[in-house]
Amino acid sequence: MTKSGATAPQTKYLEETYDDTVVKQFLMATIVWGTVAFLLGLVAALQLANWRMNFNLEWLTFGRLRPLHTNAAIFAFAGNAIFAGIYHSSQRLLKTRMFSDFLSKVHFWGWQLIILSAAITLPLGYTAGKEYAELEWPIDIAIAVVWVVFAVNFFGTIARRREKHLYVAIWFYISTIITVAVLHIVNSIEIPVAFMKSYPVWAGIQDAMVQWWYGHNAVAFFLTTPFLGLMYYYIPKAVNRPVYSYQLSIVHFWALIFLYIWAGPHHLLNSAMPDWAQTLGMVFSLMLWAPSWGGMINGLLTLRGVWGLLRTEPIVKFLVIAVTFYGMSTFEGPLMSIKSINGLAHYTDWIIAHVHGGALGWNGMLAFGLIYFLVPRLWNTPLYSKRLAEVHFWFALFGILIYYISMWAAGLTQGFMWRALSPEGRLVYPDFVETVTRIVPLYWVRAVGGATFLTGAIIMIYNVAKTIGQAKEAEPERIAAAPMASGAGDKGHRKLEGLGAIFAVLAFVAIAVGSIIELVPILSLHKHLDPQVSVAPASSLELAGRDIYVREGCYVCHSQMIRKLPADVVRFGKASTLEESMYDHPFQWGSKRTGPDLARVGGKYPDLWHYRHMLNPRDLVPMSIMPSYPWLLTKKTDFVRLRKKASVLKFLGVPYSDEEVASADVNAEADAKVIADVLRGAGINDAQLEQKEIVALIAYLQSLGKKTGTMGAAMSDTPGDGAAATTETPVDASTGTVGTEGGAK
Amino acid sequence: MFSMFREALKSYEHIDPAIFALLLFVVVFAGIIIRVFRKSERKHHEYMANLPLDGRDSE
Repeated sequence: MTKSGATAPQTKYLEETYDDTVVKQFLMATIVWGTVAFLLGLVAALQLANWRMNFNLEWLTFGRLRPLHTNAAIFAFAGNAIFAGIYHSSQRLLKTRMFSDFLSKVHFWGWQLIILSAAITLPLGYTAGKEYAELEWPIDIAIAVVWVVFAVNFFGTIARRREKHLYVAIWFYISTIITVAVLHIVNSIEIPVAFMKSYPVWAGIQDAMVQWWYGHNAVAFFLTTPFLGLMYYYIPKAVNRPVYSYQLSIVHFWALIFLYIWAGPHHLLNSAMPDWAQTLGMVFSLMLWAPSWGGMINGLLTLRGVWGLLRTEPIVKFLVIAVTFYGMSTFEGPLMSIKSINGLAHYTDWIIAHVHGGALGWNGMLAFGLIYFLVPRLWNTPLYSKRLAEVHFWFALFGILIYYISMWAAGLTQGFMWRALSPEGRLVYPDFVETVTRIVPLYWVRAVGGATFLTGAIIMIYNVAKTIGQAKEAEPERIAAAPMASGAGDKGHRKLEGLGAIFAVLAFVAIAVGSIIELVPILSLHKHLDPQVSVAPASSLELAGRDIYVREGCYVCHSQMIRKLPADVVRFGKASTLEESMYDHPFQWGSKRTGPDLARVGGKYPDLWHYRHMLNPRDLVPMSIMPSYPWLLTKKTDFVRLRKKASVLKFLGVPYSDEEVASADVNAEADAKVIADVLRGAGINDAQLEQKEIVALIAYLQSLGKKTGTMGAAMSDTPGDGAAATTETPVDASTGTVGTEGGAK
Repeated sequence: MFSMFREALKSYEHIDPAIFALLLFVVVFAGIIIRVFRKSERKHHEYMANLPLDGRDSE
C-alpha cells in the first residue's frame, strides 16, 4: 500500500538498467552552459550600465551579445536541464531504458554542437534577426534534425514502456516535443541567400504574428510545459508524497496547452496588428490565470503535511521557490496582457523583470533543485555540503529579487516618463535620452543582482565538483517494474493515458486549434492592407543597410512600431501601419526601447548626423548609452550578393522588377556614391567612403517612414506627417549636430 | 451596472472574439472537469499519483 492508500502492483527489479550516462552528460552541460549564460547576462547588464563595457569590439557589442545571452539561457541552460530531467524521469515513469542509447548520444552531442555553433555565429553577426530564433538556416536545420532524433527516442521509449498508463509528467513532455517541433519549423521557413544568410518567407504583420506565436510559445512549451513535467515528478520525489491532486493535473494539462497557444498576440498589443487578434490574445492570456495557478497550487500543496522539509532540505527550498516564482510570473504575465497595462509596460524594463522572474526564478531555481536532487543519486554519494547548497539558495534568491525589483522600478519609471504629457498635450520628457539616463542607476543595481545570482551558481559548481570528486564507482540503477496492466475496461481519460500515440495526436490538435484560428487569417495579408496605400520596396542600397541593421541587432534596443497610443504618436509620429512593413523580411518591430523608436527616423537628421552618431553616439547625444560602431566606417558593403538577395526577395513577393534585380549591385553603388559625396562635402575624408557599410546603413535609416504614399501620389517625405512636431529639434546641416542636447535621441 | 459594463466593453474593438473565446473556454473546460472528477476513477488517480514514488530511490 502506498501512503495515500492506493494499491500498487508488486514491483520487481529487472536485470536491465537505466541509461543514466546521458542524464549525467546533460546535467554537466546544464551547469557549464548555465554559468556561461549567467556570465553573458552580467556582461550585457554592465554594458547597459556603462557603454564602455562594449569595448568597441563588434563581436562583443550589446546587439550581438544579448541574443547570445538569451539563446544560452533558453536553449543551452534550460534546454540541457529539461533533457536531463526528461531522460531521468521518463525512464523511471515508463519503467524501461531509453529506446536507443545511440539516439541519446546523437541528441546530446548534436545539441551541444548546436549551442557551440550559436556561440560562434551570433557574436560574428550571423543572425536571422528574430528574437529567440536568431540562428541561421543551417543551424535551424540541425535543430530540427536533433529534435526529431529526440522525438524518435522519446516516443520509442513510450512504445516499449512497462507501465500502461502515462503519468502527467510524460504528457507535458509529449506536448513539449510536438509543439516545439511545430513552432520551430513554421517560424524558421526561410530562403537561403548564402551559407549563413537567409530571409524568412513571412513578412511584416505575417512575420510578427508567426514570430510571437513562436516566441510566446517557446516560453510556454520550452520553458513552461517541460518544467511542469519536471515539477510533477521531482516535487513528489523530493518530499516523498504523491502529487496533491491527480485530477487537477489533468485539467491543468489540457487547459494549459489549449490556452497557451492563443496568447502570442499579447506581444503586439496597441500595434498595427488587427484589433480582433489583439483582443483574442488578451482574453486568452487572462484565461491562462486559471490553469497556471491550478498547476502552481497542485505543486505547492504536494507538500501538505511535510512543510517542515522547507527548513531542512535545500532541494525542497529550490523546488518550492521555483513553483512560487511560476505562480508570480503567471500572475504577472496575464496582467501585462491587459491592453491598457501593456501600454505602460511594453518596450520597458518591466518586461525584462517579468522575463527574469520566470527564467531565473522558475526555470533557474527548478534546474538547481534538479541538479541537487540528481547529482547525489546518479553518483551514488551524499551531497558534499548541504550548507553550501543553502548558501547558494539565498544568493540565488536575493540575486533574483535585486534584479527583479530594480528592473520593475526602471520599467515603471521609464514607462511613466514616456507617457507624461502636459495639459497642452506636449511631452514632459521630450528627450528620449533623459528617460534612459534616469534609470541607469537601476541598471547598476540590476548588475549587482546578476552578479549575486552568478556567485550562487559558482558555489553550486564547487559543491557539485566536490560531490562528484568523493564518489566511488556506482552500479547502474536496475529497472523497477511491475507486470504491465492490460488496460482493458479503461474509459475516458484513463483510457487515453494508456494510448501514447492517440494522446500525442490529441495534444497536437489542442495546440493546432488556436494556431490555425489565429494564424490563417493573418497569413491572408491582402485583406488587412489599405488598397489606397502604395509602398515602395527598399532600394538595393537600403536593403544592404537593412541587413547590417539586422546583423548588429539594432532591433534589440530600437523598435520600429509606433503604437496607437497618444504618447507614442506625439513622441515619434503617426502610428505605424501594416503597409509600412509589408515587405520587411524579417519584420523589425522590436520588443524593447532602450533607444527610441526608429519607424520614422528617415529624414529627421542629415546623413552626417548618422555618420557621426554611429562613430560615437556621445558626440551628438552626450548622455547616450549606445555603443560606438567604428567598424562600420572600415568594413566594406557586400554589393556582390545584392542581386541574389533582391532575387530571393522578389521570389517572396517584394515587387522588384527584373531590371532592378539584375542591376541591384550597380544601383546600390550609384546610390552609395550620392551619399558619400554628401558626406565628403561635409568634411569626411575617405576616398572609398561609398564602399563602406556606414553609407548603406545611413541609406536604410534615412528610408525609414518614407516608403509609403497614396496611390498616384508621391511617397511621404515628411516623417510623422507633422505629428512629431513636439520632438523636432533644429539640426545644423553642416555639422549634423542637434540644437538641443540629446534631441529626440 | 449592466450599462456600465457595456460602456467598458466599448473601449475594445471586436469584442465578439472575446465572447467566442470565453464561451469556448467554459464549454470545453466545464466538460473536462465533469469527466475528470468522476468518483469511479478515484483509485486509478491514486495509483497514478503514486507512480513517481515507486522505485529504488524512494524506498
